[in-house]
Amino acid sequence: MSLFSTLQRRRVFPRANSVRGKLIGIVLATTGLALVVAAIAMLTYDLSTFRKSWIADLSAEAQILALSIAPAVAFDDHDVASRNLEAMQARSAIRIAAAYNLDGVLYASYTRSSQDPAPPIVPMSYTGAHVEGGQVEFIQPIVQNGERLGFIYLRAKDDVRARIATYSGIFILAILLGMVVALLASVTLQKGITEPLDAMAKVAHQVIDHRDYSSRVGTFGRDEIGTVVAAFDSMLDEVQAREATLRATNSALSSEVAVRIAAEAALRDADRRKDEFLATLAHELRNPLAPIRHAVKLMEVPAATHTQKEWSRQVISRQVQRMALLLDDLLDVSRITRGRLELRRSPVTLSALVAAAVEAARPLIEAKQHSLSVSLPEEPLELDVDPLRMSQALSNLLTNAAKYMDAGGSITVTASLSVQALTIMVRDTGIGLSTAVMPHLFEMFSQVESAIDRAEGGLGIGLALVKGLMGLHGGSVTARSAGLGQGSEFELSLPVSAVRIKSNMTPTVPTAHAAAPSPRGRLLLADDNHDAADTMAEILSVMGHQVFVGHSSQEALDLGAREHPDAIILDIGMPDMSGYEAATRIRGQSWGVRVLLIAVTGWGGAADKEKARAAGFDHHLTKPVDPEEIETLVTRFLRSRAP
Amino acid sequence: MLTTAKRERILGTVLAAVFWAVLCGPRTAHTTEMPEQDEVEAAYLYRIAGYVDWPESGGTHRDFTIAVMGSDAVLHALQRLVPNHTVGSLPVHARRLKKLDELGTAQILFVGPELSDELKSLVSRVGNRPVLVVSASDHGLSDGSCVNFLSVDHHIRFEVSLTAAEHSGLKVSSELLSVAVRVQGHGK
Repeated sequence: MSLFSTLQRRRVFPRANSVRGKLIGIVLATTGLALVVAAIAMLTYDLSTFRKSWIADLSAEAQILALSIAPAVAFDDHDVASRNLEAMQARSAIRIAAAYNLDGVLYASYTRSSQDPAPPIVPMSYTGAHVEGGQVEFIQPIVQNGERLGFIYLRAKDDVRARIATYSGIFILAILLGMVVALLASVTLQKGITEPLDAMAKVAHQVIDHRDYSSRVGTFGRDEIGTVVAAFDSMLDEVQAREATLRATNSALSSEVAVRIAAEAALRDADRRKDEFLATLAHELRNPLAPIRHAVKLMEVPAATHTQKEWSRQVISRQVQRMALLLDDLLDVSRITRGRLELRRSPVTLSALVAAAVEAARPLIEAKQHSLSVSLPEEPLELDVDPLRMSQALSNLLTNAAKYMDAGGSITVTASLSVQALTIMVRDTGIGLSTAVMPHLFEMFSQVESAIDRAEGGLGIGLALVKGLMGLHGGSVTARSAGLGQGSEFELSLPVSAVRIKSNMTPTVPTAHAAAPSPRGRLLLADDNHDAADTMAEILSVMGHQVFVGHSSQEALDLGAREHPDAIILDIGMPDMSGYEAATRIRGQSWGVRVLLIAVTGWGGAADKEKARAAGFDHHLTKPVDPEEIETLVTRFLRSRAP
Repeated sequence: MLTTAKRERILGTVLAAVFWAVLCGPRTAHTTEMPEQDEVEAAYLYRIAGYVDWPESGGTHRDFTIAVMGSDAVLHALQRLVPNHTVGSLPVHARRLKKLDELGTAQILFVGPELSDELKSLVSRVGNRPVLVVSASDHGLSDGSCVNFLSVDHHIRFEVSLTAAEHSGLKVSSELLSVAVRVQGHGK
């Protein structure tokens, strides 16, 4: 490794391509150039003055020689003249010296060496100096006492080359010395330029190598470099700010992506739950079919006893009711989802509502031998809600509580009125809820998975239905649980605007079994399906009503005209005449104006209901029709008509 | 062993010397012998004046006089030479002297060969007056003259007596002494 590269690495000598190197190069080049120009100028001047002074010296020499040789010439002494000329030996520049007399005849001469030419035979016509080809000839007259005696001739060598060589050596030394001094001075002086540049380069390296935009160069005066440094720093500020913005945007984007992924996962989850729901639905619909089929087969056996037939009938009835409830829930949820469910608000007392709900859930509660305690506020409260839907919501909660609890559990219903809301709390000691299921508890098709295998089954739409119903009422439902096996709490909340405190109230709640024996009515039932018509007629008869049965629209009209029933239940889809037309005709009869008209169809859409209403129906029921429902409607109608 | 170049240079030098001798030799000899002896002596008399200092005499001299005794040829030569010539700032005159009494304020007295025998008495009569006595005798200096002309190899030379010069209160320049054949007194 050479010494230079070692020194270079130690930064004694800067790299040639660095700014320091370039500056030093500029300084050395300009200094060197200036010194060379100065040297040439000085050399030129010196040479010219040297030649002049040299010629002047030569002239003086000639004059002295002329004076000293004058006596020898004056007294015609050749020997002395020759001796005088030989004195020129001491002057090495003088090669030839000669003396001539006045007639131009060579008198005496001196020649330094044999290589020098002989003196001219006749001196030149001029006096003074004559320079020619590096030689100087000089003619000086010899004058004594005003008398011209002859001439001195001198010939000398103008040794310019030797002088140039000498001078060049001196100048080269001076230039080298000057450049060394300039180098030292520039190394010191250029710090003002290179220091900010070095600092800037360092920061730039940091930016490039580490993507670190936080470091700054700092302040370096107000000159151009200072301005550049300041601009560089403010540029870094800008870059840093932009980078921060970019980062923020990126994180916002990634969080948005996360949200979208979560949404996608939720969608997939919903899709999965829908598939599970369909499977469950199929299962749930199919479940009741087996006992029904068995019961029917049993009834078809001729040897079946009455008790066996009665048992079979009860099995069928129970299973059908279960299916109907299932489908009702399903339809309701669907209606709520599509915003098609309309509330029929009417005043109802809280106690009546709770009683109705308890009544609906009672069979299951009793079957599993749960204990039930109900605690209501002391003052009578009247609610402005849809009684049917509110009790449906509450009974759903009660059914759930009974369902997801091992036999012998306890259910507590507590209602309380605060300034903001009326809350009804249903608490159980059942299997509880894990925190994982909490977020999706009220979504459609969600069913507590651990509960799927339970005997009770279910579609997982009950809580979604409750939430939808409460939402329609301007209220809400919330769930709490201390964890699996810790029981759970569900709380219904209604805004106080829907609550009134009533001083004296009379129970008007349609609780099927709560009131005194229902007034018995005369009912006309028309359905082209004989089995459906006959079984329904049987049930209604059992309930204490007098029932007339027709199997076509015409029959219904005839029977109505003859029997003047209190209520007519019409199947819409009869072959001879549609139920709508039949209803219109009935309303056209004197006996039919005030009769209670109930439509029964397989289609539960809003349009169907509207069509039924337009045709004159009071109510619209979807198949399969629960006899209890008809019983409720008829009882309410009869009561309202009663004096 | 000589190289060709050196041999040629030597040959050139020899040829040049021969040529020089042939061309210049006869002319030089001719010109040195051309002037008459009297004319040379006249010119020397005048030129010698340039190398001698006379003592100050209160600015009484209005001219520079060369007195000549015993040589009309020299006198005539001088009289042809000196018009329009000066020594210092003084115009030069040449005058014949019949008797020493006529010397006057002359600065130089030339005693020609015709009066060589009287030289000694003439010198003594001049005494210590500031007069440069120049003679052309075989025993000039011993007779007391200051400068004496001789003939050496057909050339006119001269000898100088510093004793005589000092006696007369004159100062002779060393330049003059450098071309003198002989200098007497004060050892040279």
